Amino acid sequence: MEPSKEPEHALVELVDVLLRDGAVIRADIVVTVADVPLIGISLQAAIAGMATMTEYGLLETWDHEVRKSAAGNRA
Amino acid sequence: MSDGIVTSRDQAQDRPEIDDGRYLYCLVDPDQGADLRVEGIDGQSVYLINIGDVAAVVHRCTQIYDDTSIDQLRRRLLTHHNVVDQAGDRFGTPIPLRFHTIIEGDDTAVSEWLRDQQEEITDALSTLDGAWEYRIRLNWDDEALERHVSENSEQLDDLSRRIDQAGAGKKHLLEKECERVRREQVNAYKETVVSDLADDISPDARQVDLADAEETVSLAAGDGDDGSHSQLVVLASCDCESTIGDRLDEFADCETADIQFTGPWAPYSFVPEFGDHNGAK
Repeated sequence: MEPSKEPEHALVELVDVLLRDGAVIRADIVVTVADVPLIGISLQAAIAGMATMTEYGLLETWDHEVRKSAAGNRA
Repeated sequence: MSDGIVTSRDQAQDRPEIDDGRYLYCLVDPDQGADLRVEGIDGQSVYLINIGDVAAVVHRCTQIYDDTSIDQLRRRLLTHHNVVDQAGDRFGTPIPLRFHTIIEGDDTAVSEWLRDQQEEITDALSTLDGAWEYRIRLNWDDEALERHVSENSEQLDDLSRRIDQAGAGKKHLLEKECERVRREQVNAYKETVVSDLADDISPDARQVDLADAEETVSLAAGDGDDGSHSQLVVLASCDCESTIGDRLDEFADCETADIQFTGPWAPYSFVPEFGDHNGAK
């Protein structure tokens, strides 16, 4: 069996990896939040496959708090 | 904001703004190559910020990329991956950075950070030299799993006999018990298969880890993957690729799972975390 590296496999296999893995830089000079990519909230909920409004609401609250914290650290 | 629902106005107020920044794709050892010619996210020009022993592959940006559609996100993810892939072909195994890592400042800011972290980066590049990530995904056939377990379980045989002989009330309880036992034994069987596969591959790999199969994000159009799966991430050199493939061929006859083997990828799952100028992490 040989490993595949086709583009369609890249997206399916690596979307989790690209969004959650890879080296993280924890430094004040990093604009984007290290623990979560700054993707639009509605999009983030969509791509996470959130099924319920309750989960969606919780995610937005958490994401809002993280962004607020990042903005405060940069002030 | 009320009940945790964020309005677009709230979102805009919290959004970081940058005048000048650098989007980081990966870190490389520039001694192994001269330059890199590849298009970056949204057509931006990719270039190296090189301090000698280490270099950062970047593009200049004046915005963050949080305001996007799924299609645009899909394109940007693939572009990020492609830049890292090309960098790996050019310079050897890179240290890939997480998607959407942006440093505020100009090239000097990046250079200063590289100098500050030079020892850690050099160590990581040395450790990963020649190694790549491979991913082995077992897509379980849930019906075949249950069939296999049912056919090989004395406990389920016994429960089945007791169900046949039980009255209506007790029958229901026994059926619930049977479901519970079947679930447990299916999970135990899956764990055994994955563990045996990892043990089989380990002699040919630098590291084999079980990926967290619960956190799965799907951006593939029409992705109807509703079945369960397990995943191994393997750090190995390309020399061992065919040996690992041979071992997977033996498992390919497994009736309870379909195996997908992908790679080589940059080692996203095996890279360290980096700190700031003060060394704090």
